[in-house]
Amino acid sequence: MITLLLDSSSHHLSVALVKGDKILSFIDEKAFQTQSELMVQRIYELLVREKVTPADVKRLIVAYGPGSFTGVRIAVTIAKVWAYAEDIELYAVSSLSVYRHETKPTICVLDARRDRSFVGVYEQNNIILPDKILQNSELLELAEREGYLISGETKHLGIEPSKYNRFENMLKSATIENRVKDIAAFKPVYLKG
Amino acid sequence: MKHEFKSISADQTIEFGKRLAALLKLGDIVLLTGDLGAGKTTITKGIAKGLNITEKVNSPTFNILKIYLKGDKPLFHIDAYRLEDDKRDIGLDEYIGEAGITVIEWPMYIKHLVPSEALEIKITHCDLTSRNIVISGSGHYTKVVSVIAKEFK
Repeated sequence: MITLLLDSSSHHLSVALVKGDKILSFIDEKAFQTQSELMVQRIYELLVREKVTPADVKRLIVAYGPGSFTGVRIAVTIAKVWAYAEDIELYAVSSLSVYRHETKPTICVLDARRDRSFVGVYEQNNIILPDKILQNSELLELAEREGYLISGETKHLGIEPSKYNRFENMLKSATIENRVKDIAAFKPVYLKG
Repeated sequence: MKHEFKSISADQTIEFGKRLAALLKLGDIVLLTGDLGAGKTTITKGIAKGLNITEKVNSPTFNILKIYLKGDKPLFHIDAYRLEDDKRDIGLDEYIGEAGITVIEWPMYIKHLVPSEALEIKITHCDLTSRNIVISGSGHYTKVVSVIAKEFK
């Protein structure tokens, strides 16, 4: 079964094609503010590269926020329309959870601007702290106190993120709880007012 | 620091914008205040020209934000006129600071998003073609104002 993974919720544009559990091909590039122009093109490139037709794609996994206001809407819109039109399975995973370490508890971070971050703490498929907005100082304190790894887009914190595998994490998060039941009602998560 | 001068034509206002573009760095914020037709968009056109942006620049009153990525530096042109009394978050803060030069028309309507340090420009009508321009700024914008003060009298 062919699965397509989509994430445009931050500074990256990430798309991958998966067969069963094996990642066939992926594109993961910095494309902040140009994702809307590039994403459909990148999906097309992957399909051509792997000689897969759109009709072969039977499952979609999308990172649906929180993150960039425009960013979260791009991948979600593509995934939603595709899943609705083709009547295929759609899974929605947290945009923060994609940054978790393979085994260790990780505080996953994206810049929420004005000294704040989108933050969620994950340990494998377990949510330790659900996605929320914290002051940067609060998140650093929390990481220090609990000994969490810090990952995600951490440039605004002035630290290097710990290693993560975005696509493996997305695949692992495609659990029954994350299956979108009502595709027409599916919306991104933004968390800001 | 503050400087006041008179621009006698739209062409001179464009020149002023072009000169500004050369003095602005990534992450800089320009606040434009003035009545409808005062020339806020004319200054923005000048800034775009100075950044070698060839696309047509017009007022994003209805779009709220227009992005120009093909010049020497990215230019984000925000017109907050329609955001008066609307406090919904539409991600505008992602275009303020760091990634480009941000020009904001009607900044008073998005006060909560505007950094305390910014280059402020106030334009007022004198007559049909000439305009009074007041430029002010603190911190690293002081240098921009002082260069303009020397060149536009």
